[in-house]
Amino acid sequence: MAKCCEFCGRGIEGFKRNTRKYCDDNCKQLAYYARQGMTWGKNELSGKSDLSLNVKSDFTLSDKGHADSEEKTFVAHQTITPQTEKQAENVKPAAQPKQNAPVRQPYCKVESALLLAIDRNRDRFEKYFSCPEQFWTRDAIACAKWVTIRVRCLLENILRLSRLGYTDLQTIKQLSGALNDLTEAVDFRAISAFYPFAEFVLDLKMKFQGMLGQIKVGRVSFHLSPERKAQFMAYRFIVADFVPKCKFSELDFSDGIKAELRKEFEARTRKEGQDDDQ
Amino acid sequence: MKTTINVPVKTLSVPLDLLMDIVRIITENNVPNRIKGVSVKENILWLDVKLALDHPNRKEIVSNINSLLEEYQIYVNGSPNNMDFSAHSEDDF
Repeated sequence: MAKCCEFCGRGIEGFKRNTRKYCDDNCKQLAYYARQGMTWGKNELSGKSDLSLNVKSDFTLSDKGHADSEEKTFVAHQTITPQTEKQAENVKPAAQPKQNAPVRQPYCKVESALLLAIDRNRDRFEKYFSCPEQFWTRDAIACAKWVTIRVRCLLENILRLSRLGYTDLQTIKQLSGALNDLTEAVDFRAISAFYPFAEFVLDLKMKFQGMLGQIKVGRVSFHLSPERKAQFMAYRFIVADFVPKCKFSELDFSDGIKAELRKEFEARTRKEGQDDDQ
Repeated sequence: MKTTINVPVKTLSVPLDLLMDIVRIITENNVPNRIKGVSVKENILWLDVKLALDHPNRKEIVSNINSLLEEYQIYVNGSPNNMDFSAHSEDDF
């Protein structure tokens, strides 16, 4: 049975074992170098000693489709010839580096996608809450603070639910009710035209209303997508200096700031009246 | 007599949000590590890392991990006027 050398293509003659792959030890060694990716001249080891075949491969590699340029490409590209094979025999492979010595490779800094997204969301609206006097009047700032306290409370609670990973229908109902009341409040409607989070709050209200329609059982899983989480964290960070953190149970989402001031006034006058009676 | 150098073990509190990023740094740089524990309530994972003093990219790794953890702490607990949070110092590694 005729067999060909896997490297040079010549026929293998007089072989004793049928698993022989190469015609001689030279081809075997050169095949090993080729497998290791070692190159000789401008071409990788091709193992083809047939000149016509070499010209064809060079013609293809040089990307020139004209027959009259074959000779030029043949000269330009070093191919395997009997002479270069002899040169290859005398060249030893490069010494391998010591395995125990730590090799310094360029360090690729890892950036967190979440933190980058938070930065992007933060850049958009931070200026309104860090320097509100530049954008709003005093009355508008008071209304904005009333709304933002509640927005911050909702952000904190939604992020907490996301950390827990689950919630119940009752909590969703409470949050949805709070969002409805907030968007209907006088102060929210007064500043919604220029309040940075107005669209965000309205969008949140729609999302929670949609959730209420879908939830039938008591306990459900609750997760924020990475983009949403980054948005929530960014907005919470922005308003952290503008308004304090308050508990959900301590806040009334329906009345505006004037209603709060009225309640405080009534409580004060009631107290003064009791003092006078005493 | 062979002299051995004890490599200090540093325990990192890795929040779940940053877990993939920190683990990526550690695995890409072949830093020996061991999971010490988790806190389900706080959503954090405690990771012991052993960063050798002669590690080729030691400074960069420490700086990368610290910057991620600090920035996260700032966004969770801080505010624009209060950004003084240092999760770990470089000497602690």
